[in-house]
Amino acid sequence: MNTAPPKLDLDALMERIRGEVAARKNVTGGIATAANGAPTAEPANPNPQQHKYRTRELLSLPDAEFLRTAYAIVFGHQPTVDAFVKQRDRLLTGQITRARMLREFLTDKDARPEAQFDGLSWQITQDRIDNSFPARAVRIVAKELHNIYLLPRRFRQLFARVETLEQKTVELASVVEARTRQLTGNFERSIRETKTQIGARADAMDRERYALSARIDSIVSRADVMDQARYALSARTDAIEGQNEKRLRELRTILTEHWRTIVDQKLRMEAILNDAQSALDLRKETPAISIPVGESDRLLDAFYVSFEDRYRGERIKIKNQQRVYLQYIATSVAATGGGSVIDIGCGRGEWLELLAESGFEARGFDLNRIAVEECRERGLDAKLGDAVQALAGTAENHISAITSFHVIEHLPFEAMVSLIDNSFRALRPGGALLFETPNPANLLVAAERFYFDPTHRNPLPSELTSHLLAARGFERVEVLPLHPVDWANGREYDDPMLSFLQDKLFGPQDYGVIGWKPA
Amino acid sequence: MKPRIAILAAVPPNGEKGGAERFFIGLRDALVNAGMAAELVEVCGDERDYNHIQETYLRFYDLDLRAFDGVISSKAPSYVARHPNHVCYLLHTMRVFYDMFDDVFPRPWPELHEQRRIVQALDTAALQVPKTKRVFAIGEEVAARLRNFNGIDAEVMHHPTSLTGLHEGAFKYLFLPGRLHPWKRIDLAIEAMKFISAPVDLVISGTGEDEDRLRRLAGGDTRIRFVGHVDDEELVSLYADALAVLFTPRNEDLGLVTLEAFLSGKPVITCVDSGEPSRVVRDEESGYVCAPDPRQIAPRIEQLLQSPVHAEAMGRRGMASIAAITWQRVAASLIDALGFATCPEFKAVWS
Repeated sequence: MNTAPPKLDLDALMERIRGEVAARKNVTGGIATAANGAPTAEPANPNPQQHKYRTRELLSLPDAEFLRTAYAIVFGHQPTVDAFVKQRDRLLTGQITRARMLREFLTDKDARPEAQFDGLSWQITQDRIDNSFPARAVRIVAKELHNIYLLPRRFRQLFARVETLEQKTVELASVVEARTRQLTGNFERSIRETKTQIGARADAMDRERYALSARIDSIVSRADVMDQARYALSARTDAIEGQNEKRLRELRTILTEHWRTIVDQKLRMEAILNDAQSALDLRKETPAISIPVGESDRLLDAFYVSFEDRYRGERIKIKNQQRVYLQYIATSVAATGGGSVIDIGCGRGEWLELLAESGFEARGFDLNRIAVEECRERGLDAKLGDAVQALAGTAENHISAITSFHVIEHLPFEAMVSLIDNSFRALRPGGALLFETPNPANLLVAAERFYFDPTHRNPLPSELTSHLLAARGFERVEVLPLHPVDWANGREYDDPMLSFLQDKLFGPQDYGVIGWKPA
Repeated sequence: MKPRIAILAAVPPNGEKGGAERFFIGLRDALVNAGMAAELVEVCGDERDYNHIQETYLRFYDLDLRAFDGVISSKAPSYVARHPNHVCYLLHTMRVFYDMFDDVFPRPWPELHEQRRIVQALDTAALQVPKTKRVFAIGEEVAARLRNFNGIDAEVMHHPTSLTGLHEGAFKYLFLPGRLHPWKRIDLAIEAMKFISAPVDLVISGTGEDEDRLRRLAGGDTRIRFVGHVDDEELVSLYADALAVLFTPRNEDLGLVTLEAFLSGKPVITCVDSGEPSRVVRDEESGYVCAPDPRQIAPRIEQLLQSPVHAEAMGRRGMASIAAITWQRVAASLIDALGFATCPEFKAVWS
């Protein structure tokens, strides 16, 4: 099995198998075929003893047998696979006739001397005559004549074939018809079945539809019920709201009554204090009754805080308005090397809170106990006390900035001057003094709003305050008109009189005034 | 003069008659009926080992068939015979060297590979034009194998059974005819019986190397009856009274059992990997094509047990589906391929 068999060459493959089988059986001259009574001719078994063969016998064999027999006769053995394939191919391709091949074998140097074929020369001569022109011509003519002779038979065969085909066609048609009938039957049956199924399905769907519409009906009726419930509920809500409003009104009334009662109580207490005072004056020798000094000043603390709550505005709004001053504080703190800020009349502590949030150290003073308490609760540094006294007690050149919002309009003129002077003393050089006060340049403020607060003294025009600061030693005095009436501000009028009136009625309602202690 | 046609028949050395022998006789009779002078040329086809296979190849190759006008080969390796007018109606090649190689030789030695290569090369060379003018195959299974292993296209042509007298009788028991060989997978049917409680008999006919194992597998189940070898008459009557025929081989080439069952009006239960039967049987129409699993087969049997009317209808549909498979058609096709269709002697008989 060392050499691969030539691809797809059946003869070569079979010769190899023959070789293997022969080797196994130790037989040189091929094998006998046992064929179970089959009519097998066995021409491929030359008798090794017989040296003379009739050429015609040999030439009638198939190629493979011819070659094997010729080899056995001439050389006394079977051809190798290669030799077999080579010689067979020569015969197949017409390179050589069998007779010539036999003569070639006989003249080979390995040929057995006793091998010979009867009539070989005659055969070769005949081959040559067969291939000569006249012989070929005669053969061709004879063949054509024979073909003409055969024509009627061919026609008969053709007719027979046509008939056969016709018969086949008829039979096929009947088969097709039968199949068509069968298919039609199947088709009709499946249509019937499908119809039945569709009918059943439609019934089922109808049932489902009825069930669904029943459900929808029930849902609709439930929705109606819910609607009614909703109406009832909203009516009830309205009723409750009405009741609540009524109750609120009642509560407000009660509250007002209580408030008035408290005020009344305070007034009564004030009267009692006055009586006690005069009694003390009368009996100086008996100092048994001691009335706390200054207590009378605090009688309106609660009122004032509530008042501020009502009129000063919301805490967050105030803080936003005061942001405008932070830049002055920053400048003064920077100019004075980082000192603290004092706020006089700190009130509810909006400004202290803003300063703390902005990183400044600040302390507030107020005379109102309730206000101071509120500031402390917010974690702010606030002290109960008079600002002027506090400043007087402060070391000279100690404070970076002093601020006071809506305080000076409460002070007598001398007290205001004293406040300015004490501030100047306490401030470090480069420090700032800042006041904010209602702006009487706005007629509505000057004529009305200013007097909402009964503790206000006189409206202070910015010309007065700014001149006063400058006169008491402050320099670079600046006035900041602030808080115009939002809804009217910014309208343009062609008439200068209207513009003037707009400014006078709706212009800035407060102003700030700032002065700097010379560095 | 009638064309003389040789039908090459490889016969087993022991002279045993099997399915192939019926085929040869059926084919010869059909050709004779069609007006041909057809005769069987029987040659010993010994396949017991490679040496004998070689000799069998040589025996066919060396046949002198010059006395014949045409030659029809069929079983391996009859197609290596030499004749200028040769067509092959292939029953099968030697399957141990093809699809069953891995099964038979789980651990093949190198020489076997070489032998397989030689056998396949021989078959491929022999079945080429002009050595063989045309190649027919008895089923899609055989044609596919020829296409895959040898690169040769064959025309598929089913042939009918040669068993005559098949008819429809009662619907009583499950029938499983055939050679008792592992490839026939008779154990699937026996195992399926274990999942069936109904008192239905499983009748197994035939003999073979797998018999002892199958009898052991059946154990004491009295419903399973091995009736051994039966003659044609008995076979026909066994078919006639069966409820259904079980036929669950592996990669069966054609499976005459299917055709015989249908001609007896019986449904056939087969498996998806059973080869040609799985193509001939239409699932749920003329029988059942199930997975090769007893658990899948058992419910099908029970279905038929519960409704013999259903079984009858399936059997009838099966019978109708194979009406076109006749010897006349096979003979006519082969005669045409050999070029004898134009002979005045040719009698085309169509059923």
